[in-house]
Amino acid sequence: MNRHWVMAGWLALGLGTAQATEVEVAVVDSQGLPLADAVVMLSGQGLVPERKPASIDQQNRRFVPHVLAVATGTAVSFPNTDDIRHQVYSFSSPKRFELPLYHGLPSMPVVFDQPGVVVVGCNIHDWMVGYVYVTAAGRSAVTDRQGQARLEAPAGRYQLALWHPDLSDKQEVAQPTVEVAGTPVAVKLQLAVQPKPLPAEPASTAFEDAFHKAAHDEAHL
Amino acid sequence: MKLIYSFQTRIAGSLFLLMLVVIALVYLTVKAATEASAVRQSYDQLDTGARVFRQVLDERCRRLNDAVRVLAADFGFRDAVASGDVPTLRSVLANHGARVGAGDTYLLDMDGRLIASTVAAHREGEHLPTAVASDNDGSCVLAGTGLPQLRVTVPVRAPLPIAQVVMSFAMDQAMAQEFRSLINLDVVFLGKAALMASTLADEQGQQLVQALATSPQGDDIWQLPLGDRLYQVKRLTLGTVDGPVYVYLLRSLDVALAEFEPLLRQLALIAGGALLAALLGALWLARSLAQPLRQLSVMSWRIGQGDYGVKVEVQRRDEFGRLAQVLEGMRQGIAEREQRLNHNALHDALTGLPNRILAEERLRVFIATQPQLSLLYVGLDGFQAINESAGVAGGDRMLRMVAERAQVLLAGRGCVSRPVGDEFLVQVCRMGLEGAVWLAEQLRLSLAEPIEWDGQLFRLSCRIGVVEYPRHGDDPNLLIERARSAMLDAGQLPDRLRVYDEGRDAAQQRRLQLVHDLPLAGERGELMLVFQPKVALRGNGPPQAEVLLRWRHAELGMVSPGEFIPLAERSGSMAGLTRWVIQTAIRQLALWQTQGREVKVSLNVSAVDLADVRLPERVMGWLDDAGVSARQLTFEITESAIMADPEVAIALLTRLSILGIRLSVDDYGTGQASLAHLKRLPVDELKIDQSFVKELAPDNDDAVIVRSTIEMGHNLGLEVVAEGVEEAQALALLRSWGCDVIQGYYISRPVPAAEFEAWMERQSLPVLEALA
Repeated sequence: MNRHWVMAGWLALGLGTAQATEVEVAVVDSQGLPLADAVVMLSGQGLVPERKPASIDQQNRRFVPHVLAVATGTAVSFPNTDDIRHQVYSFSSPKRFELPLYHGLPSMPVVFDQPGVVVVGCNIHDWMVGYVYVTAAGRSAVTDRQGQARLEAPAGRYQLALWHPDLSDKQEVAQPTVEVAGTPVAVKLQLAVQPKPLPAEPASTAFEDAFHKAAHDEAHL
Repeated sequence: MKLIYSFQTRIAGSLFLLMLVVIALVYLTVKAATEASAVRQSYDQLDTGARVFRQVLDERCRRLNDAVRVLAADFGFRDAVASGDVPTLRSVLANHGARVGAGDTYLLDMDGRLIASTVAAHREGEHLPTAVASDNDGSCVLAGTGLPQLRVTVPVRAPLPIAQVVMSFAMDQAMAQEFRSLINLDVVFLGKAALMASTLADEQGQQLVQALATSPQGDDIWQLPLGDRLYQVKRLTLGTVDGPVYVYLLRSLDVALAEFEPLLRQLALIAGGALLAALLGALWLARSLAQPLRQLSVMSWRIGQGDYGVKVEVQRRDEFGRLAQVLEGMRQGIAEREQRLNHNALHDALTGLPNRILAEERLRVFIATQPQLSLLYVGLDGFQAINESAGVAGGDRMLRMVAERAQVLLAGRGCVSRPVGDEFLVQVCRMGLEGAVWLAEQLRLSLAEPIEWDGQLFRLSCRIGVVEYPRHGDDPNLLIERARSAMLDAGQLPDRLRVYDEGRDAAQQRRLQLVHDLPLAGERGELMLVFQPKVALRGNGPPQAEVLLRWRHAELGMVSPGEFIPLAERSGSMAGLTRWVIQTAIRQLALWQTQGREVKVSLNVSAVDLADVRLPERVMGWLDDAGVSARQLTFEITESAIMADPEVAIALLTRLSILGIRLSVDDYGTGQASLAHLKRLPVDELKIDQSFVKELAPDNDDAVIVRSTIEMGHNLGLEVVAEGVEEAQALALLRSWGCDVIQGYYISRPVPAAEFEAWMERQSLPVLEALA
């Protein structure tokens, strides 16, 4: 739902600039299946990155979205909509940060001022992994479940690039250039990657169940 | 009886041995079972220990893993790792390794290159193989350069894995001790270069290493002596295929066996107790069986020895009791029968009086206890005749009467016994000869009282011999014999009572010797014939003589015919004597015949000879052999000899007469020869007994008898011979009465053959003429 909302925002933004043309990119993996969570980037002359505020929510002890692509210098907030606290951190060199245990919206968003992959984790939930892909490319988007991503760009010739967390060398992969000339362009790309399932939350132990129940009962008293 | 052969010993021994075998078997079985059980238990314990060991090891690996994982998840640690600052990282590794007690600790990147380590030997960037133990048993055991290690490799996440932490834990002595306390087995970790961690004593550990080096074991479990103990060893293989790690679990069998020792000791105690109880029980049982047997055997022995006085008694209700009852019945029966037998053996069945044996026995007792006693030996007269006229029953009645009267007469002063047949013995204590003689007279009077039997009256007469102790001897047998001997002699005495005379014995001895020597006398040349000449008063015939036998005994000298002839008749040697006399006489006649003399001889033939039916043929044979005429022989037979068995005698004499032998009736006038018999006899002459002739006087009784006998003989056609002529007067009278032949001392005494020849020479001279 949020994603739709965000995409609606982008559409409104594109519509704001008169010459903006839609580029629709469909990404498949090495098997030819639609590849989700792939970062699609367009770069070229005249494309200035747009710093739009972004956020990665923590819902049901998962980072949502799993992969977030932002322009360099974007401030990303990490709201916590779970009923438990999280301690969000990253030791990735583009951005090391730590948000001590919190609930709700932390006071300050994190500004990602260096391009690169920032792996985000939660110190108390080891399986929670999220990626913030900080890029200097003018446009960037993340494929949905259908492997589709939509970008808008003025007419021109642009370099396409792809990145995916399950790439073995973690480096973005350059793609063929694309000509944007007034009409919507649809590009189909294949990335040599085999997506891995998201790390699963360990099954709660009997002890944890008992603990949660006790905590729940206490809350309702 | 030897104890070892006794019934008691055998029963007790058998039971005891049986129990011994049973108990020994039980003991050995239990011992073998416990030992097998100990080994099996030990085996099981090793097995269980091995399982526990693996579980504990896995658990430990998991714990270490968890511990290291927790450590790797530590935010500060991850922060440090993420920082990439090597000195910081090294100190962090050292610090956090120490927290979980790890030894060597490394930090590798995801490609296995060393980032940092606590081991100085390694350089950063060096590629270390992240050898991971096989996953199947969860074990994290790895062979190290020395002792084997537990190695844990954990990724460091941020949140993606950015590095690996490797921590190792030495499997050292402490760990071995820890395991030992858990599984109660000795634990040995064997590393490279004979390095080992062991809970064994050093020496035993070395021995184990040597044993493993010399003989690698294929088996899972085996036994191995270490030091002075026997161990069961189990080998566990851990680690990787390339680098196996061996762990040995050991259990001392001695200790396992020692656990059973109290049990075995108890069992031995129980077995010993049971054995003792069995021995006592067996002894008791054997004793309770053997004792009545012994008792019965003693009693049986006493019965066997003739002691019937003790009652056989065994107070039991079992077979022994029954046996005792049977034995008791037997004892009573035997005692009763023996008493009866004894009585019968010692008493006379007819009169109930003691027999000779008992009489002797009593006499022996009297001799031993009394200073003086007398014996009266009583022999009934003519008892054979009484038996014949009164019958056997009558005879028995007489004998009973005698016993009764004798006992009445004695009135308890002595005892009466019946040694044999019609003889009785009376013993009276403290009585001398005078008393005994008086008593004998009383006894005779008492017995003489008439006894009526079957309508007849019988008067018993008896002969009594008397002896006195100690005068006539002190031996019971001798005394009785002497009393009997005196009784026998008494028959010839008028009062038929005789006190024993010492001389009697010598005469008896002489008789015995004569009887013995008589059959041998002929061979010894002790016999000889003498001839007493006869003279014919009428007519002139050949010379005549009566042949008489003389015995010159080598020791006793001359023995008179009056002594030995009756002995010969009684002892059965008469026939032999007669034969010798006849043969010798015939030889003498033959001798004289060669000298030109014809002599007629007469010789005596006894009653015994008359029973010999072959006598005539034998005499004929001898006569023929010698060439002597039968007419030269005259056989003189006494009246009594003929009367013994007249029919046989007459038949024999008839045959002799037919042969031509003259027959003469000897001792005529003394016997009971009936004239009827005399008439039937084929005799040729009568020989008047010398008792009538010796004192012949013209007008005495003898003269009448002799004269009438001569006349009667002549009337019967017989020659009459008179013997015992000693005086001229007798000769004159006989001649005047017509006696045919005379014989006697007046003419000549009996003389040997040579003298008789001389007499015959003289006879040819006319001497007789002078006599006549």
